[in-house]
Amino acid sequence: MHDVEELSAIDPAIANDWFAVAQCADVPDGQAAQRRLLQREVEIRRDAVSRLTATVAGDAHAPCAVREHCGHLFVCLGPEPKPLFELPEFDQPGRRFLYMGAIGIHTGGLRVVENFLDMAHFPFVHAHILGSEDATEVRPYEVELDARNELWARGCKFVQPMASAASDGAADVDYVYRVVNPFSPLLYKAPAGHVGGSDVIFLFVQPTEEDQCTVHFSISLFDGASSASEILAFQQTILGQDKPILENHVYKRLPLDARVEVPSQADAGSSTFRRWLRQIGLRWGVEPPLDSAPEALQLVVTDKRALTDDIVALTLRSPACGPLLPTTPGAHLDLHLPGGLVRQYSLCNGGSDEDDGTYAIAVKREPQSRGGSRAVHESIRVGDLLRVGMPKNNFRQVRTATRSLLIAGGIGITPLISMARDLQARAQDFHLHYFCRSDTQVAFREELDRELPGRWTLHAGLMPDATQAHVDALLQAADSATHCYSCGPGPLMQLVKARAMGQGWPSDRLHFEYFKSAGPVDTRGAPFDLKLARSGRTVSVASGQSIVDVLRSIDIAIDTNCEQGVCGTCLCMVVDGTPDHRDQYLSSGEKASNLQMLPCVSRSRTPSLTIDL
Amino acid sequence: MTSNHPLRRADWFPVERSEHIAAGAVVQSMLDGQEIALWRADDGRLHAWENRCPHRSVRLTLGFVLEDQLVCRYHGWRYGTDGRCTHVPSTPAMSPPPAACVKAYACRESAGVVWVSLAQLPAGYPPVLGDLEACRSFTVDVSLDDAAAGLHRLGFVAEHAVVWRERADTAVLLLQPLDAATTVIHLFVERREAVPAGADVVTRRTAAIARIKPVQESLHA
Repeated sequence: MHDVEELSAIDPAIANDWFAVAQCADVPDGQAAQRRLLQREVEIRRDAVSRLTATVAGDAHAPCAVREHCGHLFVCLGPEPKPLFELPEFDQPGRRFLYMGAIGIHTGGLRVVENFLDMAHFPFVHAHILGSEDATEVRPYEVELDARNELWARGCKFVQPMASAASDGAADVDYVYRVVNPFSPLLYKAPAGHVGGSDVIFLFVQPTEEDQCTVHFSISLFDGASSASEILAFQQTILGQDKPILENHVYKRLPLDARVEVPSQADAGSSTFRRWLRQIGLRWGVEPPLDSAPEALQLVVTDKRALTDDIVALTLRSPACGPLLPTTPGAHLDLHLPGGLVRQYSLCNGGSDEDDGTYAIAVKREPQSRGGSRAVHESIRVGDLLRVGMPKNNFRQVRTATRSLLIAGGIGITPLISMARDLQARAQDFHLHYFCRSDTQVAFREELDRELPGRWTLHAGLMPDATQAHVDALLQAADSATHCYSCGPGPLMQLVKARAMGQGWPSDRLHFEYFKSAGPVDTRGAPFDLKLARSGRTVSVASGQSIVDVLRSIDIAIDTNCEQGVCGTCLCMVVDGTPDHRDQYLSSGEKASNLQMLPCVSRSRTPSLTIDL
Repeated sequence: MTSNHPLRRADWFPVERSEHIAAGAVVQSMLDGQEIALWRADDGRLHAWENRCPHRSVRLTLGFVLEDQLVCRYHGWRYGTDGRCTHVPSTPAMSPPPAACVKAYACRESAGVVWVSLAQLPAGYPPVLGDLEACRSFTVDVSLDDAAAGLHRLGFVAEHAVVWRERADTAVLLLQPLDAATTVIHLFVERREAVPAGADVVTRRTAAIARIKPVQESLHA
């Protein structure tokens, strides 16, 4: 038994919304039906002359509003029902209405709505029907919250092997999604070559508990060829595939805290949906916000030794004497140094089970250091506890690459020795070229000779011309399956990039790790309006200001690290406008797509720029 | 229970038998109320992750292993062995969002058992045990502390917080706290050198199960 007495008031954000609780035919003349809605029992009666009334159990059986609309019975529990949505197409001559049933789903109703708005799951959940794994991309589409307070997503297109019961082959299908209130979505679906008009598919959610709902699934269509049972079977197959996924959300209530779930560009519909729910202040059916700080580790320095005159190696271990989190080659750590500095250093080890208890880094003393390398060289001692961010990796190996060319310059050896060790362990084809200013500045010589005999070559003390000739030859000798990874001083990486591009290397086979910006970041440029898609705010960004500076000035938190356009921590999605990319993190292909940007350095080419924040 | 106990949380606990997770398999387990996805890459390495995709919070145990990556069933997002997202099929041209990272737990295999610690920095390594033969696992509706107290009362000896031995015979019990009120007891028998391997496995297992039956009943009561 559900205890009606202890119920709190209906969430005001949805109290005056209409909820479908049945199809019209479920309550014939002279009969009554009981339905559960928002944790309350509702009784709907139809008298001998078809007049509908509804009451809510408890509370002296208070009457509530009930209406027939588009084949469904709608109930509103609040005192001031909003207008019901309009759908003139429903009454077009020649349309059939098919109610496909009420299906109980053990998840929050908002999850069902988001799943309905989502095309990205078609190739995986509805494989060979609504999508296939050879066409997974969701092309950009338009989403808006309109003046009537309805969410519309237009221009949604997807290649579908079998778009409907009447389908006779793959088609590029147009969808328009419409959410008339937070629990009531529908969609207009127009398969190519379809005559007469769009199918309208309803997925009206009757939320019973915060984490449970009943879904009313129905369709209004022109298909004269398919029988009702064929259409029913088709749609039941689709819902049957969704149900086990929907019931396996760890959080059955929808998390509106942006830190809990990470969206992609394809989630523009659900991002707008969540923004809408935040705007109306919905609490019921919503996961409470997280209370968590950014994660960091306290590690102890167990060894510090000089590799050369100006390079020291540090070994870090867990103070609990256990293993550390696994990393992948190319990963780096954010080291929090005395004086509040945060610096990034590549791991030289990593990946293997044998040394799972240590993180090894090597740090070169930079004469023009802003304090980071000096702190490591001078202040850090064996036994010190260091605050270290969770390992990150912006310099990943392409796991499918069969051949790798590794080009290290100076201290840039650190991520590349870790990659070389991994490639050696996996018996992959690779060669490591290590460019050094002089023979005395070679770090890890002993390890390289011992672990990678014949797989590495030292190029010490070369003049710029000779370096260029060597790099040219190395790139020339590589075949079209080779991936090139380079880390080192800016001029070396610029050389590798320029020569490789000149030889026609595609950017997806070139990988660079930048820890220091090539030069001071220029944030000058034309002022522009910055629009924040989630909060709807607009602020202006003046010449010489970065987007991150401006966001901080209005108290919008954004995670940053290098603030030089190299680490990728602040990466954000572009919703509208064309960014002026000034970073070294995104590949040229990613820059050209204009789908994402680094707001710590990049600006706008258009007078207005909208980002997903 | 252990969640309020930082030292205990850093400990290692048995969560599954190694042989139950073949290469390419994803298996669900639970420790201290935390759901865990255990999966074994094609190269044989085992991973223990929070059972939640960072994109839409769907259980990763619905997903599948693709060489050395775990793929979420819902949208096909792929995660590498460090938990970071490597591929988002709906936007194949873009870098995966750096925030899309599954929480990974420390896990090790020892004596044919998978051990997990929920702490970022686990206390040492799992206990090293001799050669064990698995008999069976059973669930008791008591907390880890109550299960341990019960075993102590029945004359078992703690070799480690979650490893208990029979005083006079070969049974070894490993305790897995599922949540604050439920514990799984994994029963093994020690393979002693004097006994030829495999000679009387069934007999010894059956005998051990019979000896342990009162333990199960007593803990339930």
